[in-house]
Amino acid sequence: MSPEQRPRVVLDPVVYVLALPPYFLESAVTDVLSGVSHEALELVTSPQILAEIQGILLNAIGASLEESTAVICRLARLATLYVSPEESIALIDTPAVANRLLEAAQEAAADYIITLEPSLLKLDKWHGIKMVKPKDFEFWREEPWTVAEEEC
Amino acid sequence: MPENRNVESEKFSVSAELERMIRSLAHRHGLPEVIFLKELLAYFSEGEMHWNRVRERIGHRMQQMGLENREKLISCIKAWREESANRES
Repeated sequence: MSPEQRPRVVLDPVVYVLALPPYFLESAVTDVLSGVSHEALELVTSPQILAEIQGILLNAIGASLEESTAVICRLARLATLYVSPEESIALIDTPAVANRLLEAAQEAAADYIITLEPSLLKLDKWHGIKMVKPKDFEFWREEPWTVAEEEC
Repeated sequence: MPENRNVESEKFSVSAELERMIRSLAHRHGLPEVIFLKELLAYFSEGEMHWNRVRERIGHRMQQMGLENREKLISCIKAWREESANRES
């Protein structure tokens, strides 16, 4: 599948953290990352998204600087599209990161934002970008590859 | 993963872009670039071994914090966000 045909997805930092081993609290995300590494999906990220993930790991989970950096290096390496949004969006009141996700998705012309954030899910679709919960992201599950835990 | 010239050249350009982003993250957090670049280097040189060690340590921290289910983890993240929003306002 050519890159142009692959659906582009933006992952909410919370969803990504929930998917981290060893708990795999959002196992659907493991499947998404597997789809990315099998070149069926394009994963979009931005400095703001990576910074939010690092902030969560450092401050909410108490990870060390080295650990949190290793996680974002891993995710950044998996990502296939990096954007540095220039347009600022202020659509969602809280949390601010919801707007950062919209900015990245708009800049990348993404198809989906995979999120658990109620304010984003309430939008349902915005500028052609569909908001979906991890468990509802079904696009690539019909594909024949097997899902490996280590893809996360 | 299929290997072809396009994929290889894409990987090369992604790596350069990644390094640029890692540097910008270091500045964002006001942290020395060297820590970011060291982790990046470890990731590329040790691959899965490095990642396995990291995820084991993070899993241990989550256990220590009592974050053994989704609800607890989400409420912990929410609390941190509220706290940092209050600090900024």
